[in-house]
Amino acid sequence: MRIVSSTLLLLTLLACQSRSASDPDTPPAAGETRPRAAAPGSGHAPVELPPLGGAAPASAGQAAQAVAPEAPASEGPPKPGVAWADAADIPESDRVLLVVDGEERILTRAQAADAGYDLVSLRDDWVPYIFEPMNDAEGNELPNRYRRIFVGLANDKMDGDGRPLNDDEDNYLEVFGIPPAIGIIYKRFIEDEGKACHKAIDYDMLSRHERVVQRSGRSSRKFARELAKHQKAVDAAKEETGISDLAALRKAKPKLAEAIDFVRKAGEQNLVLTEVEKRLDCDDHNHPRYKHKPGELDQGLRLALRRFQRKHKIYEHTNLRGETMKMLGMRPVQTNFLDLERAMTERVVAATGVLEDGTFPGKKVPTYTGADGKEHPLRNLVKEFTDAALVQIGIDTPEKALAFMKRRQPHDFRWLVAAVRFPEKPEYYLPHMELEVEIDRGDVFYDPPWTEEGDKRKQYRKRLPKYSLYTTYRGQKIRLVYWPTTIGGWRAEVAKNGYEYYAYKQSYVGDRVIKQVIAGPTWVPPETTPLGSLAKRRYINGKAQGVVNYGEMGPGYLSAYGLVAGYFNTKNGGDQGIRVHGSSDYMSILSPERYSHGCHRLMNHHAVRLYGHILRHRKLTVDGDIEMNHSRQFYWEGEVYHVRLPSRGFRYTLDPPLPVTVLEGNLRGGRRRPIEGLVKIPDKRYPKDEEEDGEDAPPASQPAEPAAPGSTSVKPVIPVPALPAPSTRKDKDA
Amino acid sequence: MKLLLALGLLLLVPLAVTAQDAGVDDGDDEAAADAGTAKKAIEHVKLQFNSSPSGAEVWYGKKLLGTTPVTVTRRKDSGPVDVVFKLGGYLKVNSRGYTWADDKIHVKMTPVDQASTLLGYKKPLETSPDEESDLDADDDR
Repeated sequence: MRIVSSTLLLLTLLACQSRSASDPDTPPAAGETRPRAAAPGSGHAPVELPPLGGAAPASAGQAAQAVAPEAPASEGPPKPGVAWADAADIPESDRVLLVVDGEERILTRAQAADAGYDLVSLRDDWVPYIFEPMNDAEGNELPNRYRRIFVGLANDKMDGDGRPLNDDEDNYLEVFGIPPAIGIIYKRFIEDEGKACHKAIDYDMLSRHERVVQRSGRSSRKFARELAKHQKAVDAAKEETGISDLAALRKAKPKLAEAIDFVRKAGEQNLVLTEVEKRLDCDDHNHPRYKHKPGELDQGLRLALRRFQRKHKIYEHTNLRGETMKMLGMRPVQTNFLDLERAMTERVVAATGVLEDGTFPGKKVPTYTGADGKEHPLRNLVKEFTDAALVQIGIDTPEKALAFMKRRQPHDFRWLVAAVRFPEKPEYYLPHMELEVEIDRGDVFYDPPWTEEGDKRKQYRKRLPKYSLYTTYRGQKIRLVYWPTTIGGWRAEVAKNGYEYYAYKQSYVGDRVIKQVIAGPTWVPPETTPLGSLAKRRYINGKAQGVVNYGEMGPGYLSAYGLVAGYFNTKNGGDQGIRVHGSSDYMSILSPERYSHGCHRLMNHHAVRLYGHILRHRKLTVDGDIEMNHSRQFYWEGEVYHVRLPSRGFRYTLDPPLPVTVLEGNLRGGRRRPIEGLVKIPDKRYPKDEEEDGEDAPPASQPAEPAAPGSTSVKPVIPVPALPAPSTRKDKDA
Repeated sequence: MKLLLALGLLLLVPLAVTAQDAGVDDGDDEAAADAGTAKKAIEHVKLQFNSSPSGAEVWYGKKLLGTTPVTVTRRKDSGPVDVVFKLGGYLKVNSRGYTWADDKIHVKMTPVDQASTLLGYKKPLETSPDEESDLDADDDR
C-alpha cells in the first residue's frame, strides 16, 4: 500500500513538476549567488542568497552580452534588456523584471545594478531582513533554524513546527507577522477569477451595510419575541389591505410604521447575513467542523469570520462590523489586491530598510530642519516606497494586479525579482543612526483589579502605552514611529505550593539599553508560569497524547516573544526579564484592559520591521544561533512534561547598545507603588497552612525568566561602513 | 505511463524501506515529498531515546517505537517527533525529539509515589471538620 501510494505521489509530482519546482524548500544549487549589495547601515553584508533556479549560472558579463539592448531603432530609444518572452537564454537566477512603458523586460542583475535599480523580491523564498542569511567572519553562512519554517509557513507548506501541511490547508498568518508568499496571492487571484460562487454574491448589498447586529442569550430571545409580535401585526395589515409592499403599507398604515420598520430592518439583516454566509462559503472558510447553522450568528460563523479576518489582516473581534464588514463587501479582486499590497509593503521595507509609516502623536505632521535650513515634514516612507514599487512593477490597481498575475506561471515566483527606482531617503538616514527607544507607559493602575469584597474593579485606561523610536540628527530628536505597545499588570503566577496567585508584573521605569536582538527567539518559561498554559493534548500519529505547548515557547510566531525580541539590560548589565518583542496576541496590544507580564509587546509585523531597521543602521556583531539545550520537567494532571529547548534563537549583539527610556506614565488609582509579592486570587481556595499563617502567600518559585546568557561569542564586531556617496544608491535586496 | 510507474517504483521503494526500518511512521514525510526533494538524496537524522531507568516503552502516537534505549531514523527537517515514555510504576513522560540534526533525548522517569518532588505538584486541599459541617448545612438548604 505504501509503495502504491508513493508511486501515485511521484506521478502527481511529475505531472506538476513546474509547480513543485517553485517549492521554496527546494535547496539551491551549490555555488550560485544572488548579487546583493551590502546593507550600508549594518556594516555586514547579508549572505549572497543562492538562486533556486535549476539553470547553470552565467557570469554577469556573459549574461549582459546575451541580452544587449535590441529594440529596433524605429521604435525610439532602445529599451533595456530583452522582452520577457525572449529571456530564455538568461538563467532564472540572473533575471530581473523591469517594466518600461508598460512592457515587461528582463535585465540581468548586472544590468540592473549598473543602472542603479534596487531589487524587490517577489520570490516565494522571501524572508524579512531579520531572517536573511548572515555570514560569520570567515564568510560561512550562519544557520538560522527558523528561516526554513518562515518560508514554509508563508507558502502554506508547513505548520509552525515545520511539519508538512496538507495541500488543502491554509495558514493565514499575516496578523501574526507572516505575510503570504506572492505565489499564494497569485493562486488567490487566479482561483477567485474562476469561481462561479463569487458571481452569486450581492457585493453591492454587502458593501452598503456597516454592521449586522449579533445577539446572544437574553437579547436574542427578546429580539425574536419582538419580531414575532411585529410580524404578526404586519401580516394582519397586509391581509386587511391587500398591500404586500412594505413601503406602500407604511403609507397606508402610518400607525404601524414602527412595526413595519422593525420587520423590514430584520429582513434586511437576514439578507445581509445570507450574503455573508455565501461570501465565507465561497472563500472556503466555513469548515464543516464549525457546525454553523445557516441564518444563525453562532460560534461556527465566528470561527469562519476569524479565518476571514486572519486572511485579510483584520485586527478585530469576530463581529460583523467595522473593517470586517468593509472587507466582506469587497470583491475578491479588491481584497486580493490589498493582500498583494500588504505583502509587497513588507518586501519593500525589507529591501530598503525604511521604517516611517506615518504614525505620530496628534494630527500635525512633525517636521525636522534639514541641512538646507528648511523645515521638512516627516514622510510616510513605507507608503511612498511601496507605492513606487507597485506603480513601477505595474500592479498598482486591482485590475493591473490581476492582469499581471494572469501573465504569470507559479514557477515564476521561484525567481522573480523586480527592478525599482525608489525615492531618495531623508538625509537623516545614515549608516549608523543615533537611535533611541522611548516607551510611554500611558495610564498606570497599581491597585488590584478587584475590590476588598472580591468584585471586579473597573480600571479603564484612556491613555494607552506607546512605543517610539527616535533618531537624533543635527541636534534634533526625530520620532520615526509611534506604535501601540503593552505594559505589565496583574497576572497569575504559580507559587512553590503549586497554587496560582496574582502578582503585579512591573514594566520598570527608567533608563535601560538593548544589547541583544534575537530573531526567532525562544522563551524559557519561569517556574512561576501557570502550568496549564504549558501543556496541551494533541493528536499525534492517530492518538491523543500530552505535548509541551512549544507554540508558547518558540521559536515561532505564536511564541511569547513573537518573531523577534530586543532584550533590556539595566545600566549595570542586569536583566529584569523585560523585552520589547513581537506578539501574536495583537488584541492585548490594542485593548485598554489587557496587560503583559512586564514586557512591551508589539505587533509582530511592527517588531519585524523595527529590528530589521535597527540591525541595518547600527554597529553589531552577528553571533548566530545560540545553543541553549534547556531541559526541564513539570507535572500536570497526572503526567510529566519534558521541556526541551535546544536554542535561544539567532542573536545579534548591538555595539554600542541601543538606549531605552521607559517613562512613568500617568499614575491612576489610589496606589503610588506596586504591591510586591503574591496575592491570593479572590474566591480561590488554598491549602490550609497558607490560609492560617497570616501571610498573603508563599514566595514565588522564581521571579522572572533567567537572564539570557551573556555574549560569550568571539565573533568579530562588524565595523560601520563609510558613508555612502550622495547618489541615488539605496540598500540593495532581492 | 508504464515508464512513469516503473520510475516511481525505482525511486520510492528504497525510501519506503528506509522508513519501515526506522521504526517511525513516515507517512507524513512522504506526503511532504516533492519533485525537488525526490530528485536529490534524502538526508536522515538519528533520534536516540533513553531513560533512567531504562526499559521504558517509547510511543509515537499509536505506534510503539521500542523500549529504551532505542534509536530511530527520521527524515531531516521533517518536524519534531512527540513521544510518550511509559514504564510500570512510573509517571508517563511526554517528550520531544528534533529532526534538524541528530538528537539525543534522555528522560528521567519519576516513580508514581514521588510525584510530589516535581515542579507543579499541588498539595491536595484538606477539608476541615468545620467546613464539612458548613457544607452539610448548605446541602440542607
